[in-house]
Amino acid sequence: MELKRDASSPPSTASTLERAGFVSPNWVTTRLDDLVNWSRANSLWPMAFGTACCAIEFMATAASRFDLARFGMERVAYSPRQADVLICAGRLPFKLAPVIRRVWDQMPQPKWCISMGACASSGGIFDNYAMVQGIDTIVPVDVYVPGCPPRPEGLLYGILLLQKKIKGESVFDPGLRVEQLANDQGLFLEPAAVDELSEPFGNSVHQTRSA
Amino acid sequence: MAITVKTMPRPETESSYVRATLKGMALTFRHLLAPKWTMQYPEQTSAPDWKLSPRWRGTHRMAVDEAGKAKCVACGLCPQVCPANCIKLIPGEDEKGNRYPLVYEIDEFRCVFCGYCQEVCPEEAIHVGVHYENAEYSRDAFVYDLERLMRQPHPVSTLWDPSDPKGE
Repeated sequence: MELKRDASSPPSTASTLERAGFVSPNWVTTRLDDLVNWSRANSLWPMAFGTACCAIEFMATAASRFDLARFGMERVAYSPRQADVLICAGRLPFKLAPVIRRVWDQMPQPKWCISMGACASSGGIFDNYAMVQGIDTIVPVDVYVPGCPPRPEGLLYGILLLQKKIKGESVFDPGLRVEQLANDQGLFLEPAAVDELSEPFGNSVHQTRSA
Repeated sequence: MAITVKTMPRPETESSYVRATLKGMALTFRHLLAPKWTMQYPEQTSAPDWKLSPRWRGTHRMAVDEAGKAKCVACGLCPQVCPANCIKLIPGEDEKGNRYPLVYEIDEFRCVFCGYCQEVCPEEAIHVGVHYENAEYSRDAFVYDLERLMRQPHPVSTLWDPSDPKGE
């Protein structure tokens, strides 16, 4: 959808207005993109999936000191049907994995996901049999916010990153809003990809899983 | 027989909603004049009553010596002590017998910012920093290698010293 003007083409073929940058074939679509993205980015309603201590920081972010409402997240929707952005705050055990997948499937498009905190993003210190090693093995994640838990400022920074990402999207991009459905086993990634994402990282003695 | 409803006579001042509405609006408008709590975050990072503690722990930073090399001697204490198992260290040794890290990577994603690595480091090389704006779009971008750890510009955090509990 980007305007692709061939640099080698002679300038005489383009009209005067087009050369001056006023009119291009995609003028309407880019303007529409700007309008839609502006309205989407500034009216994100979060669906807070708070399972642990990160949810406390999320509450602090929504409270008066930081005031999530300044960024258009006026209403924290605890109903997936009325939400735009899923904020997974806190660790996610395997028992909750189908729940967050169902919440994600229930959210209407367009939707985004923020993974807040170390545990939601990668399992954190809970590298054990019970914990999902990163919610990006369950749902596609747009912005990751590290921290244990992240400061409210850190989460706001992540939300600003998400807004920046939304402003770069195009309404006419067909691949953007495709639902990535889970397969029969409840996975939306290949098992090998899940293994690669969730393998232990460092060489600590506190290896809880592999030894 | 019709059911009779007993009505209790109430004074006009109690049954009128006007008074209650005005009371509520007065409370709302009083808050317009009250001192503001909200910190305008991206423009304003601290408020008079809200400052980042120098002991606050965030993204890591590797100290650099005068020659521009990392101070790390690859003793292997920080990956040992790390509770989140987020430090990957492969030690190397040059011809003079000095140890240096061949690979030093920290997964800032798995890290819980406990600060044990800074506490345990004998060379005061690895530090946790006073830095929190570290969100990213992809998971790969969170593995900080040695170059990136050395390039971090933010201030490092001051750990709590038991002999000097107030930090004086």
